Amino acid sequence: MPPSRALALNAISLYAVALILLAAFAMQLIWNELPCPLCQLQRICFALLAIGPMLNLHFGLRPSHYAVSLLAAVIGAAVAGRQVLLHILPHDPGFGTPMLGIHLYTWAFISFTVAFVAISALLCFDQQFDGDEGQDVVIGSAYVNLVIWIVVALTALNVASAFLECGFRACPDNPTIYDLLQRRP
Amino acid sequence: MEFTILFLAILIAMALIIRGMRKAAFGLSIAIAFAAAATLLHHSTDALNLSF
Repeated sequence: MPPSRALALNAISLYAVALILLAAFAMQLIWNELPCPLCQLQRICFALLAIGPMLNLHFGLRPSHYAVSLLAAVIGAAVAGRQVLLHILPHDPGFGTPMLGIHLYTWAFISFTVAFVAISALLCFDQQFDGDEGQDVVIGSAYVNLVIWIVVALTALNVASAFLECGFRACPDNPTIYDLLQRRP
Repeated sequence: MEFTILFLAILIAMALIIRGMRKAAFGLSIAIAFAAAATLLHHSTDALNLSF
């Protein structure tokens, strides 16, 4: 796999992470479902998942950059898996509104697992680390810069959201209001 | 509060990448990953109601 194709895949993966973070905000703002502590942690792991592709798209392809995303995927899957197990007993309604019949933490577990497998598959292609053929076409291009700024903006919004929801205290297990605003969303 | 700090740390890591500071961004990202794992373990105090 030539470096340019691997970089294009990195950019596509950033768009996927941006879509996931956007969907989480949609649930929060449109359906008024504030993220619980484990939900916040999963969002953190998704944001961390974006660091690997960002490193590749800025500094060129390196195995260590993929390692950051692999670590994020493993930890994210552990967090999501724990939340799945917390609600796995029969007749447990689960936490939050299901999307297409599946709760968000289950979707998160699936997403982190897919990310782990995809990154592992991408690492099988050694040619991407040989030289920098075609990398300058991808790095710095408009669609790459756009997605990087989208992910940065979504992360900044999450900083604000987490601060408004929890303030300077520990986040509640079942949040219904923004603590700093002291009113329902 | 810890989640705000973790998100802020990720934002700083992203800013370091954009500024061209690769080693600092990489080191901070690894530190954030371990902090996230530590946060999970800290919050995993509820017993799982499983039968096995």
